[in-house]
Amino acid sequence: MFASNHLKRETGLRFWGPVLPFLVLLFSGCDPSDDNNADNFDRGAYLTETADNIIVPAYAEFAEESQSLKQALDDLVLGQVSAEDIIALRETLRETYMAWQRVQLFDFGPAINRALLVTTNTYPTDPVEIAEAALLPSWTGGLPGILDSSGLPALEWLMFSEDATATAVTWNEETSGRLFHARRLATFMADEAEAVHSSWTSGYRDSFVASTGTEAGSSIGEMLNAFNRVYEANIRKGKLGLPNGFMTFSQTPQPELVEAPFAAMWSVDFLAESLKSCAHVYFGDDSNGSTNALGLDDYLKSLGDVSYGEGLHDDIAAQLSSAETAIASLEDPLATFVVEQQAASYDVYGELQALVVLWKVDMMSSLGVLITYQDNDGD
Amino acid sequence: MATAACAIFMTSCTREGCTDPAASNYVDNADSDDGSCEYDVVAPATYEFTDDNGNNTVSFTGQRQRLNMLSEMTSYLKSANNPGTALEASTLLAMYANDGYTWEDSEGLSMTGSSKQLKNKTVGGESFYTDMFEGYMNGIAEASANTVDGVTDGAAGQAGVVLSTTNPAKQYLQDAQGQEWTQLIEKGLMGACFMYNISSVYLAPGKMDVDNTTAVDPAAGKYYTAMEHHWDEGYGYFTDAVDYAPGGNGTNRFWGKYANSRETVLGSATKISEAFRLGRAAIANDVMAVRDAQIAVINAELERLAAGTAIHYLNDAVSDFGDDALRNHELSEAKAFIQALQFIAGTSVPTAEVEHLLEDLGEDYYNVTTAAITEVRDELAALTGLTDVADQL
Repeated sequence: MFASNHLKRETGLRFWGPVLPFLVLLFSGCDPSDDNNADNFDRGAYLTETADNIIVPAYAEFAEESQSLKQALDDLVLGQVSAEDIIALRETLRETYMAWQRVQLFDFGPAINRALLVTTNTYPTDPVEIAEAALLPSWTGGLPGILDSSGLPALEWLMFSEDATATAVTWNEETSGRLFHARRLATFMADEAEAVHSSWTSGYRDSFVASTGTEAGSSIGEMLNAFNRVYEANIRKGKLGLPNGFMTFSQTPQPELVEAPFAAMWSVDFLAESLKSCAHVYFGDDSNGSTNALGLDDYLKSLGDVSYGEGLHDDIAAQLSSAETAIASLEDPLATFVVEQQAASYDVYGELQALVVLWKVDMMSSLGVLITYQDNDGD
Repeated sequence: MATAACAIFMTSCTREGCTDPAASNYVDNADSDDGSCEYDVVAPATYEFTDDNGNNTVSFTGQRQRLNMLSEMTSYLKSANNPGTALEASTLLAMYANDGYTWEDSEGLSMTGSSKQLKNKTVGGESFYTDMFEGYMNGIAEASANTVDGVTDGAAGQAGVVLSTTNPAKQYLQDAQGQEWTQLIEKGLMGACFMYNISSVYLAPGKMDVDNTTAVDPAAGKYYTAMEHHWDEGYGYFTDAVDYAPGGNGTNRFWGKYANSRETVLGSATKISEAFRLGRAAIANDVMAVRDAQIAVINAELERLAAGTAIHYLNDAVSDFGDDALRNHELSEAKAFIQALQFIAGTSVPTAEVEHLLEDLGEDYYNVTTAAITEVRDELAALTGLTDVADQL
């Protein structure tokens, strides 16, 4: 059912895709500051609420969690690390990782300028590279070659490659460099998180809420492109479609590609939290849109039925609910589930895919916002 | 009182007005120009011009040949993005100098054996630049041959084909530092050959301070004046479509393409093509003030176009930072577009600035930081007045 629906809409996009930029060009040519939509939605208020109630608090929380993790590592004493310390650290890492799921969607502006998404959560991580890096006297974060041995996944491996008791023993060996390197990784991550957070609070927030158009490069354009891109590539595909084999040519499950494979019991929670944060952005609040917070749902409703807005909103709300239910049917370890119950995981994938169609194709065209992230010059 | 009297006295002895006889509001007895000149010249809708007898005066066949040469060379270069495809250095060098190479020549322009070539038009045939491009050609030939021998995967410190991790359709042959020869050659020649010839040759005084009264050789179908022809040659390096328009003809390759790609933010495709049409009409009507104003517009817009395109690719490289193939590809494009800036007359980014920017970016694209990329982007934007739109590019 999802497949055929998807196919139909994709075909439509492919047909109109090349024409769309020129149409927009034509309109904006008259007056670039003119909005394409004749809607009366207060985008300034919407952006202000989104920045102040969702984005900035989410970054504040992620920066704070990262800082706690760094502090917890700094507080450990080499030679005196216990299994209990490792267990406590793992919990702090989990909370930081959960906080990450709530900022990953905002991969534009300050975050993209620092490549926060790839320095924080590139997986699968490379254990050999991490173990080698731990032995190096100096280490520089943020270089392209070490993204797959940095951030949350690298810390996860350091804390979970052995059981808690064995991990404590290894960490206590100065020659392993593990504690030392975990601090470097956490420090870099905390510094980057804080840098992005402070970019938002020291200027970017103001320019973000002031850019109320819908053209490419506007706040709405940037935010919704990041929203769709991260949902499509990092959430739908990265957290499920690659591990369960759906997105691979051979359709063979690749359990090693799940998020947080060493912790093993976090993958589904992270996927669920990711979808929850999408819903949060979509509705503008934590609930199902029943409060007054302005969200994308209100933006769509403001268009009325004429522009397919209200009907589309109902479809999205229903599909979000189906997707949440579907994710709840997954079980950790996800790495095992995608192998043993691949077909069931495909059904869940279908529910996530249906949201791509509704958000990326239907919502974006209803709002008159161009998808720019697949724009390339073909060479 | 005294001051007013003095002012009246002053104006009565120096008559102000438009002093250009070519202007429609020329004041015969004015002796001080007040900047009020107006001209009747209008830009036609397309780049089509005829003489009084209706003979076509526009010709840029040589430019079309060179555009086609670079198109053919680029498609040959890109074939090396598939591992197992070896490029011949001798073939690339023969294409570059149009020396003994048989062109596909799909438009039947008699390219094979013609005197037209890219090499001797690369910054006037200056060996510093031609050696650089020939070095790239030798480099890609060698690396592509290695992919035949099984060295296929490019990585830090290893030339080879690098596969995109985010877009399976993308893969590029890149050197050990991630620099992509194909981009350095294609986009590099857009700068060192096409841009250089538009701005520093054909629209420069040496080719503009020439005869504009006599047709060059009507018997041979050359109904244009020398000045008209030089202007057309400049146009032909921008696009070979007489009906060039954003979203329309001529937007398939080279500067016409990249101007179109950044049109919503920069508007350069419209401004450059209109300035070429207006300037050409001005030449046909012998109104040099209008021509000169259009030269200024074209140079300013070419600078915004090259800088804006470089900024666009720097932005992309940051967005695709974790994807070696795409990041390296985009940085290679950015590098070539930054280099193009030095070839524009009156540029804000002369050679020393270009070198400074590229130094900040670094040579090793596997070892670059987002801080370095954004710093170069911001510096470039500041130099070219694009700071306000840098995020949108």
